Amino acid sequence: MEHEANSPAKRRFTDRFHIRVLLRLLALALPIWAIPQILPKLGTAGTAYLIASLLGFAGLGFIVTHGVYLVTAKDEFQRTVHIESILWSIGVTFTVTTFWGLLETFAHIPHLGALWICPMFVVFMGLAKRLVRLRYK
Amino acid sequence: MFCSIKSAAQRRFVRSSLLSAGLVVVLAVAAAAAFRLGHLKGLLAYPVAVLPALPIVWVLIETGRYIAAEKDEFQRNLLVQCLLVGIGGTLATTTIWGYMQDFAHAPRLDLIWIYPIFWLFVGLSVPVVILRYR
Repeated sequence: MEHEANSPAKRRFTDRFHIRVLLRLLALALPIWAIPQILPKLGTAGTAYLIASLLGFAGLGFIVTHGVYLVTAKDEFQRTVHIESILWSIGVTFTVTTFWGLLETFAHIPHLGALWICPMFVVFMGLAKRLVRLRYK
Repeated sequence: MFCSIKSAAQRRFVRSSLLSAGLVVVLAVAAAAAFRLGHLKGLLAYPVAVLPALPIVWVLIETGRYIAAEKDEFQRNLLVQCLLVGIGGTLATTTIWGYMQDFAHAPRLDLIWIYPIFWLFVGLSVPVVILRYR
């Protein structure tokens, strides 16, 4: 673990991760406060779509942060753990969304908003990372 | 990547993917028919509703098995890169759509579309990832 914490790639990844979390919090808090006040004045649906989609681009930070980490990480083991966690999380997330989606369609359970997919993926990835690390201990 | 299938693991992966795609269609039609004609409600509705998800779970498991079984490091790396692009694209799409849905009242994105969206991004990324190594 000490070795991992000292890795420059890991440090860069952690820095970017914190910035991304901050951006996401801002991106979430800002529209809750601002959009109800601004949109009625702007009036057009097009502008609303534009603002909402711009906020969503904060989510693109995920790709950039993880992509840069995977490319720059020199520690092959940490890279493997990271990739395995992502793959496990992909599997679990899509299992959950498919089950939920089918139950929504056929059994009319409450709708789960698309905004929850990314946090769900990150939570599963965190859990998967712990389990994958345990496997290699 | 899949046009020249060489390894047994790759053959098995492609075969199970195609088979599960067929099974999803059959089970989805069967579930829809059961709900339309049988007017299923209560506890029975839940297992019937999730039936079409089973082949999807099977493909996810097979994808993992293929990655573990593939001996060709390069082929495995290609698939992993495509999957990473796929999840990145899916998360970006769902995040942007989620904001548009919540704040700009865009149409609802049903969760059953998330999995096809993921494979669409994976499929689009295949030629790009292969081109990188040419």
